[in-house]
Amino acid sequence: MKAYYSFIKPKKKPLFKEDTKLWLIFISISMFLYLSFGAFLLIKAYIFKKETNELKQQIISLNEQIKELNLQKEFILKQETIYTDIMTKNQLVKQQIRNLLDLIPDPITLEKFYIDHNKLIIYGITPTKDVYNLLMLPPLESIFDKTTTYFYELPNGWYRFKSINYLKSENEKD
Amino acid sequence: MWFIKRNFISFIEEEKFKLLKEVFKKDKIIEKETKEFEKKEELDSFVKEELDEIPQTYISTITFTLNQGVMDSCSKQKYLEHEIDYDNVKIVCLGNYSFYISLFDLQKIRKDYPYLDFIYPPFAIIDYLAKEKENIFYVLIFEKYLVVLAYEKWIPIFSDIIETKESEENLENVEDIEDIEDIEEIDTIDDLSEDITEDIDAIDEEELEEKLEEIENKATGIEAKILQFIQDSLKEYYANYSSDFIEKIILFDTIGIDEKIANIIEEEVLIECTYKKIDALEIINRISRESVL
Amino acid sequence: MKKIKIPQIKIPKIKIYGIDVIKNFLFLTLFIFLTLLMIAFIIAPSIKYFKKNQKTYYETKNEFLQTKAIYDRTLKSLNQLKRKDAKIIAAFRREFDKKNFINFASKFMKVTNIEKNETKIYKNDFLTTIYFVNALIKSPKNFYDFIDALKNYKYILKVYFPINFEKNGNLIDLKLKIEHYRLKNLKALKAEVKAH
Repeated sequence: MKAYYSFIKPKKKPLFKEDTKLWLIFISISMFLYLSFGAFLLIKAYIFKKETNELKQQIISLNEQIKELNLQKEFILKQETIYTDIMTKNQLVKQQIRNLLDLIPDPITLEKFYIDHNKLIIYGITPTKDVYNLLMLPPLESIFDKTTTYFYELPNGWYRFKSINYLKSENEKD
Repeated sequence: MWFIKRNFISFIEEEKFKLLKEVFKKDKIIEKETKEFEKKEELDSFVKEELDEIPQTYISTITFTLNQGVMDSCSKQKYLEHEIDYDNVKIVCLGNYSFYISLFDLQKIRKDYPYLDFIYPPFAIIDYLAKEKENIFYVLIFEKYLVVLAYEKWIPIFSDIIETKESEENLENVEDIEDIEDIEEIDTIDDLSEDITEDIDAIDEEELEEKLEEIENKATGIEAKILQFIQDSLKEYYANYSSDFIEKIILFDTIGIDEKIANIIEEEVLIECTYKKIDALEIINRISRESVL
Repeated sequence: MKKIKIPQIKIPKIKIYGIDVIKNFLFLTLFIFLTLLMIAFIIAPSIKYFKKNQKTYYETKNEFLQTKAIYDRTLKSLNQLKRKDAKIIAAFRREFDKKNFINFASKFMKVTNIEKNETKIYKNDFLTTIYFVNALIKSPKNFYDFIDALKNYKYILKVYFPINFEKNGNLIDLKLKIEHYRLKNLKALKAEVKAH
């Protein structure tokens, strides 16, 4: 057992001298500030790093989206091209038929015609073979590579004709 | 903490101020120094410097005021029974016994030495060192004071302090002792002692004379005073405190008197007596250190 | 803390105006030493690390902004395109309905027969179905108007060879082939569009 024989209690004793205490406090505060500054920087750096990673992720996803958008764009353009192509071709068909009908001179009456990519068959009636040969054959010959015409004499002396025209090339084919 | 130094300073005011300074780092003593000062101012300035140097400096002393003692209880009742004004003493309770000091004296010491951390009664040294505590008389010897503490059954029940160099008269009285017989005549109470004196008489008187001379050569006659003190105390003890016989007397000497004193006492009072040299200042420091740890 | 054996060296005390010069000097040295240590091992590496991260952050941010701008531009142009070609896009999504067609064509001709023929995959993403149409028209002009009107029709139809004109009294008997164009995988595409 510890024996406390003293009539009085000891005074409180400081651990350090006043100036030592000041030094220790000063040094501790400095160290604390250094450490907190370091910690602050590291935390900041960490936040930067995290945000950088997030941004990188976003860039990747944006790039993917851009690719997707471009695909959509391309697809729309493709549709547009196809559409334009179809409409152009429709116009072409119209034009061809119109050209053909314009080609027919007045004396000749058309009864039927069949038009395909590289082939044109015309049935009609002409007053004379000459009318046909003079007015109708030259333009047909100029358009088609091969033109064959068959005539059938009608009772009234006119001729029913059948003209078969071919194009060698298959340019028209799409 | 391992790097903190603790400085324990103890002093006693006797002829001079005797001081012991011990510096500890953890449990290791790293510095030990004894000093003596003639004047209180020197002591004050030394202590001030020490306090300035090592903040953890604890200052202890012993007070020899006669207005102190021991009580075999801590209760107010007991104090009042012994006609001690309970409200005007400071008590240190140690379980089933206590030491007390006059508040007035304590205040005076604190005023004189405001830097003190521990003020001990001299009995503290005895109580701290005492191992045997059954019907034992302990005597603590200082340069200027003699202190007695008597244990009955593990509890100190009797204490006393006297000043040995109180007055010239007293001194002369002691020095004037020419015959030991005189003392014996005064002191012996029962017939038993007559026989003892007879025996002592039988011892070569010359030898005794020589012994006395030796004692007187020391210019203090301290041995005689000690003997006287013991005899007086025993008388008082038997008369007022206990009927049990004292079985042993143990001397704690702080000043370095002749070891033979034990033999003299043994022969004189017929009680086994042992002598032990102690360093009071060191013990005070030790007690203080244990209190602080 | 580990105990270090320090040889007991008595540090001499020099005091000026009650200030312990040597002790304060030692503390100052300790302070400077610790400061340098902190700068070398904590602050300097921290700053370096911080700057590195800051630099990469701003670089990445810049890259992000550029990418974002590209994205916005692409999205804007896509939307413009969608708006411009909304009709076309919608037309490509429609399934062909004969009744609707007959109704539409009635302004120009009398459809006598319409017959569904084969369906083919066209340019991976489209389907074309051929219909043979027999109709009566009054004059070729009806046919021309019909083709012009197809431009604004809700289906995408291509008039296709062979075309046969045959005189049938006052009227002309017309045989033609039309091709209907539409998206191949309508359902999948719808889901895809919704997802965006």
